Amino acid sequence: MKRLTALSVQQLRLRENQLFLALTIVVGILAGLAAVLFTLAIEWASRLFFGIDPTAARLFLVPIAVSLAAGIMLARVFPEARGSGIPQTEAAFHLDGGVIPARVPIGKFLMGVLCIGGGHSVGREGPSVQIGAGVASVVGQWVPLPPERLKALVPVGAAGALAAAFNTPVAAVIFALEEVIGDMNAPLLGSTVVASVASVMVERSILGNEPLFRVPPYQLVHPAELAAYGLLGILGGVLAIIFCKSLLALRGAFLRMPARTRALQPAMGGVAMGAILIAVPQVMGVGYEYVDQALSGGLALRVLVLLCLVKLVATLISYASGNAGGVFAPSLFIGAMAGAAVGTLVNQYAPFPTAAPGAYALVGMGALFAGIVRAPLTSVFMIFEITQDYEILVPLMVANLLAFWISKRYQPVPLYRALLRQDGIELPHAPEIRPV
Amino acid sequence: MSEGSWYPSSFTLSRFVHREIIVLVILVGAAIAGFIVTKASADAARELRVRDARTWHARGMAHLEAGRLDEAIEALGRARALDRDEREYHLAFGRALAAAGNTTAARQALLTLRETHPEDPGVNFGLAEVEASSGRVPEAVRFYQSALHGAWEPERLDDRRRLRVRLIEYLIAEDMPSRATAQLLLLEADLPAEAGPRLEAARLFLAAGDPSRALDLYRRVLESDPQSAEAHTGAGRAAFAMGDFAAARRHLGRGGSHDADVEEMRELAQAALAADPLEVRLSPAERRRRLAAGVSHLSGAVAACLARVPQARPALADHEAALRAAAQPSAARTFADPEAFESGVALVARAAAAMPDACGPPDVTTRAWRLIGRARAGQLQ
Repeated sequence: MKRLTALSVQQLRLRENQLFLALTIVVGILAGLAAVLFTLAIEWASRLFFGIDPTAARLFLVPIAVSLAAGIMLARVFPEARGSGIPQTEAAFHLDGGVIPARVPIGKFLMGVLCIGGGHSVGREGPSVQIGAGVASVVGQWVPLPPERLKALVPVGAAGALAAAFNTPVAAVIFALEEVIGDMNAPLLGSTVVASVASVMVERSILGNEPLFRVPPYQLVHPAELAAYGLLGILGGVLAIIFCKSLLALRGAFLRMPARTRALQPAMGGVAMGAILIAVPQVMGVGYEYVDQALSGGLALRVLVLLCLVKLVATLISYASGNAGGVFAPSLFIGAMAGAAVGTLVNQYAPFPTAAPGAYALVGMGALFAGIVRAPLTSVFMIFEITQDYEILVPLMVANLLAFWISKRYQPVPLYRALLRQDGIELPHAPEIRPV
Repeated sequence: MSEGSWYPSSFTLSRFVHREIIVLVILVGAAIAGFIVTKASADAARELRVRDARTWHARGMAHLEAGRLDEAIEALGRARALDRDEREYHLAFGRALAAAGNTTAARQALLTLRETHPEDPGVNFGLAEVEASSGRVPEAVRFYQSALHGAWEPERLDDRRRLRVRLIEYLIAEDMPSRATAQLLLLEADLPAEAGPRLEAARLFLAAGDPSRALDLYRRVLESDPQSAEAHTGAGRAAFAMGDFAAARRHLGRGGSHDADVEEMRELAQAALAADPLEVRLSPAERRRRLAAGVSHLSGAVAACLARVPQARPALADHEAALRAAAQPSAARTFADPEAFESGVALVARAAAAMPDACGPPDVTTRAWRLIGRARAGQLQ
């Protein structure tokens, strides 16, 4: 009897690798669910705060009221939930052994819903990454996993959440390796792939297998067009530098303000944001419907230029003032507008046949993303996956590389590291990851 | 720690099942519960989106009808973004863009929709209209044909016929009469028994330069409805185009239309019938009289024109001399000879056709002689 019992225990007891694999799948599913729920909650909040057709008073007052409430909670209850969430995730992975307190994903979820749904010009993908990583870490602590495994679970959760947020399983894996871990040869490839696949399966079974944007099939119409795409890459690089340097400068100014103003800083951003929304409500929140219109070529040149510039300013204010939200979506928005504007001009004045402005919007999205987030491979795969169109890959790579190179040349410290540095956190140059 | 295990064995939850398994089971339960909640939320959000999209679409269509194109594009773009599966929103968005003159964007919007609905007649028709409005004729024709060959529901076959009519009208407008006739023959094979579609097909045959088939269709309509004014007028036009002035006069008279062009046609048919020396059932003397009258009229008209517009001399000098010679009594006597008679008719018809615009608008008799020349071209060669 004793022998039988011992055998049962032996059989039921999962070995380390098996347990980690099972947890990877579960974490992928949970991170995917969290990301989808986060997206839906933002949608509900936005509809609740603004209705279908908001008045000027609502446009002005909602961001202020929401930021006031968020500011107090961010200062007193959820201090880790400010900003994007990706730098915090990197810090948790590299410096804290993957330990993320449970209040972080909860706070990020609530604050993200409040700030993004309340009209701030920030994205939901960065917070999704932090929520996913937080869920993974909480699960790992609860099991509990040994330190190495706990740390390894953080990028797994991040990849799962990003895969569901964008419906981009491959880009999510690459992002986890390229940005969170910082090592494309990391031995965590298998785990991130499993989590990403599990997460995307959940996401697709809930929302359907729809790419984030529906675009017509674009292609390189004439070889000379590569020069135009090159110019777009340069413009993307310049815009990325302007964005990064301005963001760091403005955020630095907010950080230098007296500590007692910390709870009110998001509301300051809310006042500015409210004023902007009265004039240009299109820059509210994530703004993907306008990206969609830019990809279809449905916006006039003056509108494209206006939206590009106003979105840039609005995102700087929303992010620097300490509201919760990321820069993924704004970088895609700004890039799409800049790209479509360039495309419209090329379409009108180029002496050779050209693709429609939507093709340039697509490439512009990738270029800005590569320049701001500084993850060129992720950018290429993400654009490929969110559009499911590979005809445009060559121009996309050209523009991405130029934007990336210019951004790296004139802003040597990547944005996320620079943001952490402002908070007094320094990441190791070469990430120390032991094989798992 | 037990050997080969990383997990401390001092758990207390169960003797048989380790803590990690219980945690996994709880997590799976949480995932299932989370899935149910998220799915329900997603369904509710989708319903809300669909409702909002409907509102934006209604607003957009109202703006579009009122000609407020920027507002229409904004509203329809929102409707399309909120409910991406509703093809009507994409179509309306494309139409709004095209109406605003942004054909590039309209084309992109519809091409995007075509990715998922390649055989949708509405999408292909929308694209055809966009291409037609931007002057890309081959692409427009291709999309019209794709629309015709798309997946049509049986109850929408009348729409398909109307689409073919649109294509034929486009081909006629783009001066492609042979392709229009080819489509017309397909249309004719599919015509319902009602008079309306037959009259429409006959009108198109006439516009495509095939008055014979047009007249045939008009006559078939008249067989079932002998009093149809539209069929009589159409048949009159077709007969007029064929040079059958007697039939033209008869049908136009019965048609009773008082349109300026019909009145003019009736007058010209009457004049041609009165002037044509080759008309059937005429005595030889009457034929010669008509020819002589024609020679005399054209001779006078040419002389009057040359007196008024000397620059017309290079074009009319030969005709003036020939007409003057034909007007001599000795020449008129030769008209008894059939060959000389036909030469005389041809001479008058040529002179009528040669009268340049500079001479001013030709009178009814001169125009009648032009028509006679065209109608009798085969006979006079």
